[in-house]
Amino acid sequence: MDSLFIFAATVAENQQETGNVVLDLARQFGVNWSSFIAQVVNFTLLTFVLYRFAFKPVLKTLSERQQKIAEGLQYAEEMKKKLSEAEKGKAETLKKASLEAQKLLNDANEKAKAQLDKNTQEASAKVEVILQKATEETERERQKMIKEVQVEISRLVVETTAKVLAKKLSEKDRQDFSSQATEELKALN
Amino acid sequence: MLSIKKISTFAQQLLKHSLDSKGLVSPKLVQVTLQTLKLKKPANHLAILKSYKFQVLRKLQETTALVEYSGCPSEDQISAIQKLLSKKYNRHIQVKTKENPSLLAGIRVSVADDVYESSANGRLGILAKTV
Repeated sequence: MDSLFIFAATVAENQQETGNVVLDLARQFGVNWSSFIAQVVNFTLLTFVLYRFAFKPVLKTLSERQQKIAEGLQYAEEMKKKLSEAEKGKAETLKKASLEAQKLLNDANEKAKAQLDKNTQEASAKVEVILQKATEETERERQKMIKEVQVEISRLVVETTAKVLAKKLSEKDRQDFSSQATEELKALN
Repeated sequence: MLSIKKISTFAQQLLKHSLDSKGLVSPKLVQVTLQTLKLKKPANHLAILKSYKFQVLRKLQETTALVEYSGCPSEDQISAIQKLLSKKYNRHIQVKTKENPSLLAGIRVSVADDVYESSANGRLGILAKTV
């Protein structure tokens, strides 16, 4: 490599018209050990300082946040699980409540139906009794009316007959009737 | 003061003295009895008179038959009725007659609370009841 640079410098020296710039560059090119060590020390110090005061807190913070996130995720998972269980429990409770409600509803419907049937039967019986009474009352009224009509007709017949007899019977007829009545009186004794 | 029972008993004794031999109430004997009561005026004579009046009226009802008629019955028939009733009640019964046109025809005989009727009106009544 050095021979290459020397060759280049030689070529450059041979070329007078391009100046001494390249030669200077070649002479200056290479490792400056003091500068290099200083830079290494500086880099090490900088690295230490950065690690001590920047990376480490950041890493710590990152670790904490990662832990928090993990905890959060775990918590979320647990919550999700609990929510699922709660949903399941809720569904079961709802199902149970629904079944109980349905059972209660069925019982209530059956009781209501039984009560309705009972009420219907009672009402029917009452209606029947009322109808029976009404029929009997109507029959009684009819019989009473018939009786009254019969009595009235009898009265009219008797009254008319009495008037006719009073006009038509002669004195002899009456005497004959009295004689017959006397005989009947004798026969009674 | 005499008790009601004694007054009644006394009135019955007075009634016995007011009856004739046939057991009928004799107006003459009743008059004599009343005059005697008027003269003597026994204790409670008003109550005795009331009781005596009641007894006489009852006796008259028991011994009198009222024959109501429509179509006058003959004397024989009335006599037959009198004999019949006297025999039935076992005492002498006197008969009084009275016309009653409402009977239409026939007779009705009443002795105290007993009534015997055989009249057109009565038969019409029976007819009216049976129709």
